[in-house]
Amino acid sequence: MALSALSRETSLDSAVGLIQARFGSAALQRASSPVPREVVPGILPDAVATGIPEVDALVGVGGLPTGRLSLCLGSCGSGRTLLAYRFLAAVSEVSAAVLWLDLGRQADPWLMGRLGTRLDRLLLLRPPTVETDIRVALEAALSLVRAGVGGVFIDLPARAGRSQAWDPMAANLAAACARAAIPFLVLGEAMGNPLRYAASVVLGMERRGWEERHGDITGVRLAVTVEKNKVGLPGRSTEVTLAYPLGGFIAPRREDVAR
Amino acid sequence: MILCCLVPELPLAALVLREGDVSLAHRPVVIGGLPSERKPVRAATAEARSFGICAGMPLRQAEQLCPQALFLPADPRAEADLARHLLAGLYALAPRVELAEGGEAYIEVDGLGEPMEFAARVAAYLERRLLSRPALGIASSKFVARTAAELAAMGSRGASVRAVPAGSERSFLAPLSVADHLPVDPGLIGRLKLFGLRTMADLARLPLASVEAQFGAEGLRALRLARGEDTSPLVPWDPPQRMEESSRLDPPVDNLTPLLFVARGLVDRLGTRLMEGGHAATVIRLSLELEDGEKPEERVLRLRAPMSSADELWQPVQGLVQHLAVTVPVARLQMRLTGFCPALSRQMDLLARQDTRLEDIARQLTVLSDTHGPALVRMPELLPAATTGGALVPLVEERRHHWLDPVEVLSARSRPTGRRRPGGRRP
Repeated sequence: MALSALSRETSLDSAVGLIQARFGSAALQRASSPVPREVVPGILPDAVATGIPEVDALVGVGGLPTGRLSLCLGSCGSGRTLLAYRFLAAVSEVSAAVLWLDLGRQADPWLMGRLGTRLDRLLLLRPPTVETDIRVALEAALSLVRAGVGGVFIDLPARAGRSQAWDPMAANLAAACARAAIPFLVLGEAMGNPLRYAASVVLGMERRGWEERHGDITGVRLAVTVEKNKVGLPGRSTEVTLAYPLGGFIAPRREDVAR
Repeated sequence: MILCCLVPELPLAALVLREGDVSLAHRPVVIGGLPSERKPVRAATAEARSFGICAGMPLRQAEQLCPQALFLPADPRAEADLARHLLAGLYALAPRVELAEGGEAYIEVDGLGEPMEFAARVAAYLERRLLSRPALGIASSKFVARTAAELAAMGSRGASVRAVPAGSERSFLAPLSVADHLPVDPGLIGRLKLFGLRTMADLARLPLASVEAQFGAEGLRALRLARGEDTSPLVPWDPPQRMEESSRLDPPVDNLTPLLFVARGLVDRLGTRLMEGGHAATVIRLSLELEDGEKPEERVLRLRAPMSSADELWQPVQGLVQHLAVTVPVARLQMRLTGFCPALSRQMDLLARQDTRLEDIARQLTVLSDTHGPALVRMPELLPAATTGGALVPLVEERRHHWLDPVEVLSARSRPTGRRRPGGRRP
């Protein structure tokens, strides 16, 4: 009996070895593999740093992955826009053009510029009315992704994430971003299940408190939780402090426009 | 751990090696140009430095300090050659080596044995090549390693290694001056001084949010460096590669038909090697060794797109051979491929990030503007009042920014400078 079990184990090892030799070590792994892993083994997705080291470390690949859908969820005032603007600044540094779909109609170019976004690379897509034009906006975004923009950000108004019209178009947009290998970040208060299912990284944001100085609010303390992570370990959370850019002046870079 | 090698007298070493005169290193020699030129000193020998001459000083002042010194112009080409040779030598010692713009080299020493012993090997190699002893620093990040090497260089005349154990970066940096060691904008250094922040410890103890609010993104970077949190990665050097195949023709031929036959064989062999390695080549060099010992003829062809198979390579090679004017019999045909890139890149161009396709984006924006109106996609630009007001931000959104036509901006960026618009006047 023992010999039979040993034989089975040997055969299994041999088969696993053959599969791994042919298709790579990431193709098949034992669930009880003792190797501690920070990220899922295999080819790591490229990532763009968010500009917030704590969040980069939390995701596990040094930023938000490119070619994959990332969601940033949180209620009003939870700091998700601040995080997205930081990420936008990082993406605009390495891309020729970045697309921001302002479906929430709350984008603030001044704040984007203050946080380091290269405004001469920012395309702000703002449909006249949200309800009727969400399809138009997504189709326009899809065509721009195919034309070659280097990143897509969507700021959804409340409830839009649960709209029936949103999911199929968003899936098309996510597929186009995956083909172009560009970052795709969606901001919202809540998302429908299909989009959560399609997302590789879901960040949950919650405000923990304000940073104050001489009685003035200078920043916000946030709790960031990785609710879902296909590229690293999910479930981790951290607390970060983000400053509002009110004290110093960040000069916009307009050399490209001037040129 | 990262090892930083500082080679401060690279121009001097390049000159000594070019001239082949070792005695130059032991005489007062100043490199940078003639004393009558309004240029700074780039390097000086130890003999010249003993007179008070240092890099950055005007040449005229150096002449006043040491009139008997030999003033020589710098040779950037020799310096570049020497830097390349040094890099190749260091690459033989370690697989991940980076040569930075300032002349310093960074080596990842993890997995290469005891770091101090490895540093001794590197020091011996550099001393042998440069005829002077380098300064080395070992730390967990590039900035701390470089700072350690700078301190090692200041510590003594000889080769020295300064190691900073992991975890003690902040205490190591704490007493150092921000003005001398922080590689940030000089304007920021001036502002830090105005705030009384003179040492790394002064800066490192400040809260992150406050520094960012006061000094912006550059201040945040300075703070992280002062705390020893340098996350800049080591960018390893990739040595140039080449593939070569040759065939001796016996007897030598002066006819294009057998030459084409042999060339096809060489292309097939090179194509197989390209496929095996997953490479694509961008440059073909064809060399013809002639029978009577004349100087070999060489033809270079730069391909418009990387090619990764024999069939692709054959067409340009065939054209190259057919245009040869063979008057003397050819004894040997050699083909060399250079300028390699991953073979997939050409295929993946359809799928890869298309950041540079500004014209495509501009064209698509024009279509969207025609279909849905110009207000659908716009590009913001901050108004001067919003950019110079500091904390006083205009409350009305329309006074902060105005909108630009993205088509015009992107078209202007994608258009080369000085090129005329087709059918239009020069803008």
